[in-house]
Amino acid sequence: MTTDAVARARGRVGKPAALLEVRSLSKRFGEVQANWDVDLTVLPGTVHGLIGENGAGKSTLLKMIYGVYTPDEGRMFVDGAPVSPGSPADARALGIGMVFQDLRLVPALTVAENIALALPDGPTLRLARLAARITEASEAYGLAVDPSAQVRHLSIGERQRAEILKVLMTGARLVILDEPTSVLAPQEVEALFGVVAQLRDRGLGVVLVTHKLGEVRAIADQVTVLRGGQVILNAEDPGNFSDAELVEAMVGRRVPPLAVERVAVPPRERAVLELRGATALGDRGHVALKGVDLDVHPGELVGVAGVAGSGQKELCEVALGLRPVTSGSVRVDDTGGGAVAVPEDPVADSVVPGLTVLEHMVLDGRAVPRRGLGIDWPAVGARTAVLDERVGLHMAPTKRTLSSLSGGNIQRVVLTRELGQDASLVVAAYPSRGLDVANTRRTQELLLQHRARGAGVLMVSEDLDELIAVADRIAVMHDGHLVGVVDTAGADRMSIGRLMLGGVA
Amino acid sequence: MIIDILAGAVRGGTSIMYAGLGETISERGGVINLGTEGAMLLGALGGYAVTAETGNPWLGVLGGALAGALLSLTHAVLVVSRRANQFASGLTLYFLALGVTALFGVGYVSRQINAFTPVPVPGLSEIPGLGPILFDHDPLVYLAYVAAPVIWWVLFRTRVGLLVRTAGERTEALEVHGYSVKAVRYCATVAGGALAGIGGAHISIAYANSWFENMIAGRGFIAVALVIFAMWNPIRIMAGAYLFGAALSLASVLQTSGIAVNQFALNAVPFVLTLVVLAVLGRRTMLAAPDELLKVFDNSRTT
Repeated sequence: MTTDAVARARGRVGKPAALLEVRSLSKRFGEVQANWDVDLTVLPGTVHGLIGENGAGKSTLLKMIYGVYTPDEGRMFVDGAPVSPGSPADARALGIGMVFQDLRLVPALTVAENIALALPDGPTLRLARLAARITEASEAYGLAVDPSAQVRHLSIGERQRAEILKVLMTGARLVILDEPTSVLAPQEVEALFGVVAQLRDRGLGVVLVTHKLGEVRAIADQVTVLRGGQVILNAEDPGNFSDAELVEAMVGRRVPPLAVERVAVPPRERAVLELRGATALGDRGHVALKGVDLDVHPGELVGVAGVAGSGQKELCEVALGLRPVTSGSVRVDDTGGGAVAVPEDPVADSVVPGLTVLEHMVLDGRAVPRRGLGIDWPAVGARTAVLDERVGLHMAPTKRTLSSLSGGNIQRVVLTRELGQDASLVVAAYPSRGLDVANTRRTQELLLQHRARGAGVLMVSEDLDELIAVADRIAVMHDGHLVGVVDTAGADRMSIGRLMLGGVA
Repeated sequence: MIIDILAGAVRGGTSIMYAGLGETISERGGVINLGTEGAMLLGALGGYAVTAETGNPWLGVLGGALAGALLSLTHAVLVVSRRANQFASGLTLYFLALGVTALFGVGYVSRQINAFTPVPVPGLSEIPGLGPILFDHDPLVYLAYVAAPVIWWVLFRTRVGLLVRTAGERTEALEVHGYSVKAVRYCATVAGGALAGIGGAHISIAYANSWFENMIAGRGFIAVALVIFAMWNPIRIMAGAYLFGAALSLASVLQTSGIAVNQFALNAVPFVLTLVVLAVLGRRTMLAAPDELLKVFDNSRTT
């Protein structure tokens, strides 16, 4: 080990000592080798992009660095000294800070109270003094946040700034951002990258986990691609790589670009879905959908964009008749076929955890093959095999219960059942959530097939690029209002972003 | 007579206030304890027994607090460690306490004790109107005046309070900072039970000065409902407790002033009041509910 360390030190002559160095980290969970021989080096004053598909081992790696998991093998060094953080508190003491994707802020508390939770400093809170410190730090880093605001009332972007500020105020020198941009509007992404650049200029190290390749190229100084728990690519200056090259590294093969034949939208027949001034309450009893007018025509794919929690969920539920409108009207032109739906949270709204995949295939309201008084399960099995083949999302074995499946596999079961039917209205909320690149692509193809067949498709996504690629029109939501409908032809990300943030296009 | 009713409201509301403050702490930490009524019963008997044996009502208060804490500790073991259903555990513990206190309380029925007596505050008790209403009571009433603001301060201005509130709002946020959700919830639940025990002791050694079976008569359940009306705020608990105290004291005041009203109808007044408040407020107060507590009410929604 000593010679090893000396060799490393020699290798770094002239370079700054690595803030974090991970050597040959491996972690196994039962049968699954989540990480195998992973190396990662983050230098001070750099941004390191970490990319990989779901299940590639990114979160296992991060959790080992952050002290949540203990590696089976391998070593970690901070500032050249060997470390083995046994808990997140250990990691923080080493100067490693993590901004979780689902943000660990407490919505009912103020920003200052949330930060107080992370800064053990005496038995009383002394909120006024803390607020002054927060204001000082927020000015220093360009992270504008009101210390006395209740987190519940902040936008996603503001919450993220508060969380980053919290991590910085606890003395982090290495900041790990786990998929920070997936819920942001383009303008907020730009602002976030401004902050990241500033952290880099101050000599901090940043690990940016993302699946958006453009972001890695835009901001990262180094890139590491994980696939199947192993490092496939590690290179400086990711700007030299094309999307296709990075995707190939992530997926392991070339993925041809999505072929969208943009048939001109057929003459405006009667819409399949017609909302007029639709207003509805959210789960907490507040008005979540405010006077929305929207038509979805046959043969049209309408995308819905918006910052998370802008009323997308309520819009889908109102369209499907799952949520009553308090005023306005909803009309679905059911010319046979009815509606199919992929809900925002399939586990809560579309799945019975204790039932098998096969049993879920008869829970879709269609006629069930019968044998006597019971269900003809062999016939259901045969029908399901045909369906799985045709849809092409490769569901888990039909005997498995849904409770034993991962989120991505549950999503594939729901997608196969719903998109395998010919409906006149398709409502899909975040259909590619939890899917890998190939299945995301297949799902987009399926939605386009429904559109080509003459169904009206309403699709919610937080990925603007996805919406621009497949939708005919994009309806933008902000705070329950439908603030604009943009034709995708010639759509501009920034003007859609302005609408998402409540501005004018 | 108005002064009698208001003075009675303060005296009668004190036990509900202690129990409500305790349940506020517990629920702020994410644990709902329907066993509050049981903790009060144990506190009433514990307080009475210790006072009877030692002759010192202050030791009785301590005994009541310990008895209430013990019942809540059982609740905490069941719901925090064993993750049992909070409603089932609380109700079962109430029935257990009802039986246990009836069994072990037999020897204390009609036994005389050295109970708390009113201690008029010099000077203040002379104020016309206000004096007899606020400043001519037993020491536990005065202690309650201080308890509500102090508990508010602890919950909202100290680190311990912040941890309790975080345990009730979002457990991941507590864990990520290296705190134990279980430890925080144990402390909050046991502290809540101790306060309910003091509330119970107030009934037996300061209010009724006697012990009899089921003497709490629903005050613990009123306290649980009060926590919701008060939107988990100690200061509002204070106001609400005195309102229910007024409803409770109505009966005795009317009786002593010779107005003939059916005793049973009067006993129902606090509960009718509870129903009216529930109906008026509806689900509005739930907007202030701690998020983890909402999960207890409804497992499927994790808003």
